[in-house]
Amino acid sequence: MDYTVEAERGRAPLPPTKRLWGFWEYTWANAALAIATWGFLIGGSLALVVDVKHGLLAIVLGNVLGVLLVGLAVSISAGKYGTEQYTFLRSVFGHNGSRMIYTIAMILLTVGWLVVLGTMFGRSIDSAISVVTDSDPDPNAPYIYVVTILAIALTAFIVAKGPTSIKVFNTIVAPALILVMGFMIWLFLTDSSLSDLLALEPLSRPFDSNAVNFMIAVEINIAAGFSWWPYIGNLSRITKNERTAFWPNMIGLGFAASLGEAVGLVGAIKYGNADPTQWMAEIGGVWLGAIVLVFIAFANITSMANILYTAVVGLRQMFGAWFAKVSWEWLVIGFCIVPVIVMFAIPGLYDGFMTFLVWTAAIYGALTGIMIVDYFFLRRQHVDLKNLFIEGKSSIYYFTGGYNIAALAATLIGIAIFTVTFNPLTFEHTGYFRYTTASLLAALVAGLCYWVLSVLIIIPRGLGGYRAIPEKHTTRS
Amino acid sequence: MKHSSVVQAKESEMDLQEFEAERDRVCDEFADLEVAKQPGQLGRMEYVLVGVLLAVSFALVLLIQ
Repeated sequence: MDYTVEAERGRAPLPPTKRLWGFWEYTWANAALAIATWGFLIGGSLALVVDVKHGLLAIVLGNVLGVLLVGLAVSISAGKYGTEQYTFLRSVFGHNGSRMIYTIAMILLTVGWLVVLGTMFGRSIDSAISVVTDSDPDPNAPYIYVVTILAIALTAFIVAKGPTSIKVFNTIVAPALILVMGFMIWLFLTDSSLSDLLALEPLSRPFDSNAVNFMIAVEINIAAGFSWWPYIGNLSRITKNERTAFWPNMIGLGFAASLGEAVGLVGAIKYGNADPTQWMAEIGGVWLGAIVLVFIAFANITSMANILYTAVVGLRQMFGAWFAKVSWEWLVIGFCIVPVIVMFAIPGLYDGFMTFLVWTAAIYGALTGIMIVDYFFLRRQHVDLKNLFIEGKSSIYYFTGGYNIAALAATLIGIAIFTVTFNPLTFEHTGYFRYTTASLLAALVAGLCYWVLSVLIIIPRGLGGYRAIPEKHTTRS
Repeated sequence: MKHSSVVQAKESEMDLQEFEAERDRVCDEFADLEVAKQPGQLGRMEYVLVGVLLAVSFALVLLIQ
């Protein structure tokens, strides 16, 4: 057993000397994850709500808000302690509570994204064929299900081979995707000036009020920023310190994702279709369009491989006892069966993906608020690492039966506040939505509730090790 | 160089008990470092900057609508 290898796999904290990434290494790793095809999808969805000018502003501001808050919640502690994200989460939710959050927050999103990106792979191939054969694309053709399953199978094959094959894909696809985006921007500008593009009107306006439409666009982008919550903790822990764990998020995630979204937004409005696989077929002529579509199809595989790998690593860590005898390969295959079932059970997931994305912000908003309050205000940035790895009642993070009731209650309250404030399915919203957004309000309310419940119930009962840490530091200093 | 390769070899031969002991030692090292500011730790001005960025972004969202 090699300590460094085991620590990299999440079974122990990574000491700073064993960590791989400095500032720019982490920036590029983040960019490779962010500059993916989901940016086109999110940008295309914005085209159904706002014009280009307001869409671009919503992209920048929403991503700054979402990515900064998620970085505060997850990256700073990961950069300091080098601990696996869901192991660290035990200090907030307890051991069993952390497993519950992993199951809901990680598996839900990963399965959803695998279906959405797999379908995008299928539709890109369909569009490429239609471009070459000069026929109409059929985004709902039955064979797209088969191609989607093949995409998931190919992803499983890559992930089963391990992180090296993923790294190879990242190294090739991320820079190439930047080139493709540059090429698309160039195509946009060949027959339109910048001012023409900025003046383009949206494909639709769900409400008469432009203020509400703009806030919905901001909400979608905050949701996109929050959607990094399940993934970036386990990337940040490989960085050398807090600073290198935090600021690269703004460049790697914030800027790179914004670029993809901006291309998706402009393309959708300019060519009149929110589905990027449809408008890409129209640009660049027959063969160039087909090549771009095939490339976009395979770029989805890279995104899918990254999130599948992170999810399966977490699965092993959280439920190690259950899967101790299951090989890595079979675990990957088993995990991939779930999105195939979901694809048939929820056939409209791709077209309703924006709804799905914004729903996930309900839970990630609440979790972000709770983690910020716990780490910065209740624990004052001090966590007893040894107790994170102790199972059972002897751990100070056992709370009540392995669950921190305050954290679970605050999460439910945050989700409820989000749901009352804004319905992503119908866009129904309360009057105050345009001043608060739903996800920021959910984060704030969940954080405040968590603080109140902890101060009134958890800390006075001596649970969670909140009293032990300051005392320990007093004696040491 | 020789020392590091010896340490490397020793690490590779760890059994579960040795691994857990090493993990506890690393955890203790982290705890010992808590009393002082660590290299690369975010400073007060950086937190102020984060706060300003968040406040300005949200203010712009309200103004632009």
